[in-house]
Order: sequence, then structure tokens, then C-alpha cells
Amino acid sequence: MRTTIWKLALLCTLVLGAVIYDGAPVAAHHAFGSEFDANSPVLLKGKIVKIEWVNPHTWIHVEIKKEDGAKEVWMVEGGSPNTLLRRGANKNTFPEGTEVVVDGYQARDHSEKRANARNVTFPDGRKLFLGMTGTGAPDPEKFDTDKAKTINK
Amino acid sequence: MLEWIESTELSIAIREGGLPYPIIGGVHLLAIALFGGALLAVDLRLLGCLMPSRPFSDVWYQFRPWKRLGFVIVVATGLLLAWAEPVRLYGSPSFWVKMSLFALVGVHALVFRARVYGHPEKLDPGISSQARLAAVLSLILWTGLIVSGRLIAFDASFEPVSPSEDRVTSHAVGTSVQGTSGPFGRIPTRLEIAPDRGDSRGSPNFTRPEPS
Amino acid sequence: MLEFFRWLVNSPWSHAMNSYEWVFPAVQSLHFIGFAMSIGTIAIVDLRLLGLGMRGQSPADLAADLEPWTRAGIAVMLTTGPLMFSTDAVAYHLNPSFQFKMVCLTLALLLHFTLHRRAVRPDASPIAAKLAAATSLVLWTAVVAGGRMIAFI
Repeated sequence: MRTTIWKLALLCTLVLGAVIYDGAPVAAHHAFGSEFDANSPVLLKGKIVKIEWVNPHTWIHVEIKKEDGAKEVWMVEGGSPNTLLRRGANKNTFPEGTEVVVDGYQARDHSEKRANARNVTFPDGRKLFLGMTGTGAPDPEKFDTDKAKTINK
Repeated sequence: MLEWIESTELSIAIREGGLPYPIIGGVHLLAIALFGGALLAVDLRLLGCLMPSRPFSDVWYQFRPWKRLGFVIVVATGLLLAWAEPVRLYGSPSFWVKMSLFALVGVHALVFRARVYGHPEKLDPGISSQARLAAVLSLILWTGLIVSGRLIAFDASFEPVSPSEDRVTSHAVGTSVQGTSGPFGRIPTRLEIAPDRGDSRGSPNFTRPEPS
Repeated sequence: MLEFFRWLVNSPWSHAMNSYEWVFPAVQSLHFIGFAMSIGTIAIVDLRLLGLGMRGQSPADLAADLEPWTRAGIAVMLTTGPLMFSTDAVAYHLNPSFQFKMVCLTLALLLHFTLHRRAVRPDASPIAAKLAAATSLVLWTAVVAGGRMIAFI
């Protein structure tokens, strides 16, 4: 048994070594809190300019117009294609040019125009929950609209 | 060339499909378990931690078919996964670490073929220190492979597309401003949405948002 | 139960995993190595019971030799698993794939430490042994599949 423990310790050291050697991990999937800031809810109103319908995560690029007229494109992360298919959406659900409202949580690095999407609301009022169960994001029903930083008007 | 791969039917099917990607990933994992178990048994025997009374050549020949089967399935599923997202993998440091380790595995097999793996009967009277070294290196390399493989998912370079001037598009062609950089230089990233194949799944009426 | 999950999400280890980018990947990597160890060795014994290889030794010998590693692997899994679960316990416990995995895992562990141990003994009936081995393989495969699908459901 002693050899087993020694070997296990060796394995653990190797793993940690490999992780650290790999440099700073840029993004941590499936651990919401590592990448996104649960205390920074954001609200984005703009039009879809691109949809990346890919595994393991879908990404929607939303172009918003700020008050001073400048345009910014944010990318918001949704669940996997399978997750969204199960909720009744497919890749044609997000045509370019659609005006949408996205609520979500901004990336930890606030200089990044990236967020983890919770809900997307379409012009006709339909609402689609984009999040994944198991991302560590706060309860979707409890999105704090008051505290949400509206990125644009 | 990578963009050509991404435009193939197979690549699109795995990358954009619902179930293929996780299923291939799951089989990849199961094969890792099978291969890993067999490899562990062989390496532990070399280190004297397992079945020390059995002749090494016995252990070697018995686990070899499972190692081979596991290896083949791991590589096959791995190739499929790579075929689905070559651009993303190109830009992933962990992927290149993994490939380097894979190359080292090849070197390891060659280096130790003569003394260890080529003639296992030679080790029956006693395990040489070289064989022990081979076992330790093997464990380190394969552990590194598993870990770097997992870390691929955590490598990401995310950039939104540039804002439009007046965008009139009939199909989505978004170009990431900076492209993807990798060991062989920068390549423009073009993840185009695949033309509609009439996927009739999904409907405009969504299910309710999930309750918390 | 929900209170317990909420407490888990706010626990110090959960905060650590969600706050430092590298902790979750490290724990998850260990989870993978642990399952290669545990499920890999279990698979070898099961394959032997089904007569599909390793005929050089009896199932009892094989099982006895591999059991310490199986247990070490299971120990790693039962540590890393709950750690990852605690990062988002509230959402995970609702995920149908996770629930499926837990059911299969419970059954698999129960089987492993009861019927399976009897199945490797020399006096076990061949049919019972094969049944135990096949069930074990199916259950553990279901565990891995369920785990994989958590992010895709």
C-alpha cells in the first residue's frame, strides 16, 4: 500500500506540474466562476452579427451601439448545440440582423467584451435560456436586472 | 488547408451536430480507460508492483491486445475530434504539448524496443533497471497526454468579430480580426456557418427556461 | 437538500475552485486519471471474467493484484467528483445527465463491492460471474457516458 500512495503522490505532482507548466490557462470551461464574474451582470441590446454554432459551446456575436454612436461587438457564450436543440432552437434561430436582448454575466477580465449568456429575448418576445446547467452561474430566474450594467441604451 | 478540413461534411457534422461530438468524446474516454488500465498493469509489472510472481512476458502478451484495441480506438476518435475543429486545435497550446508528448511516446517505443518491449522474455529472469526506467517514463508520458488532452478544452482565444460598417450579408461570413496563431504562424480564422441542410429539428417555439 | 447544496457552493473549497483559474482544470485532470485507473482495472477483471483475455491467471489472482489500484482510483474519483460538484451543486443536481450518472455510479459501486467480489472467487458459478462482469461493464460505461453528457444536456 505504501508504494501505491507514493505513486499516487507522484501522479498528483505530475498533474499539477503539467497544469502549471502549461502557463496561465486562459479560459476555464465548466467552472463558471473561473471565467465569468457572477457579480457583474450585463444587459446587451443589439443585433446579431454572427452565430458560431459549434461544439462544445455556441457563441453569439452581438453588435451594440453605444450612446455616442460607437459600435461594439460582444460575444456571448451559450450551451452546446445539443443543449440548445433540446430546448427547441437550432442554428437558424439566430439569423443575422435580428435585434435581441441578452442578459448574462461578464468575463472576469472586465476589459473583455465577452459574457456568459443566460437568456436571449427575440423581437417577438420569445425568450430562450442559453445557459447550461452546471456552469456555476447564478440561478437564471434570479437575474438582477436592477444591478445589471446596461452596456448601451 | 485547415479551412478545407473544416468545410468538409464530416467536420461540420461533428462540430455542429448535437450528439456526435459528445458521443465520440465519450468513446475516446472509455478507450482511455481501457488502454490506461492495460498500460498501468504492464508498467506496474515492470516496476514490480503488480503480479511480481508472474513472468513479465506472460503479463506483456496478455495485456497487449487490450492496449492495442484501446490505442486504436483512442487514436481513431481523437482523429475525428481533431477533424471537427482543426483551426481551434491549431491555436491551442495544450494540443501542441499533447502532440509533442505523442511524438515522445513514439521515440520511447523505438528507444526501448531492443531492450524491453521487443523481447519480453529477456526480462523474465529479472527486470533490468533500463526496463524500470522505460516504465516510469511511460507512465509520465501517458499521464501528461491525458492531462494535456483535458486542458485543450481550457485553451481558448476568444475575440468578437469587428463591428460592421453597413453589413449587408446573405450568409454569415465573419472573420476574426486577428486569426488564430500557432506554431507555424498565423492563419486567418474563418468559422463560417455551414449552409442550411434543412435540419428540421428545433422549432420557433422554445421550451420554457429551465426552472432554477 | 437544497440548503446543503447552497452551502456547498459557498464552501471554501468551492470558492477556491471557482476563483483560481487553474484549480478546476487540475481537479478535473485528476478525475480523468482516477477513472483511467479505477475503471480501467475493473474493465480488465470484467473482461477476464467474460473469458476475453488474460487467461494466464485466474480471475481471483487478477482481481487481487489489481484491487489496490482500483481502490486508489475510486478514492481519487470520490474526492475529485464531490469537489467539482460543489462548485455548482445547485445546478448540477438538477442536470438529468448528472442524476443518471449518480444512479449508475451507486449501482456500480454496490455491485463492485458485493456481487463482483463473489464473482471472482474460484467457487463462483460461471454464469453468475459472466453476468456480474457484463453488468459491471455496462454500468461503468453508463457512468462515463453520463459524466460526458452533463455538459451537453
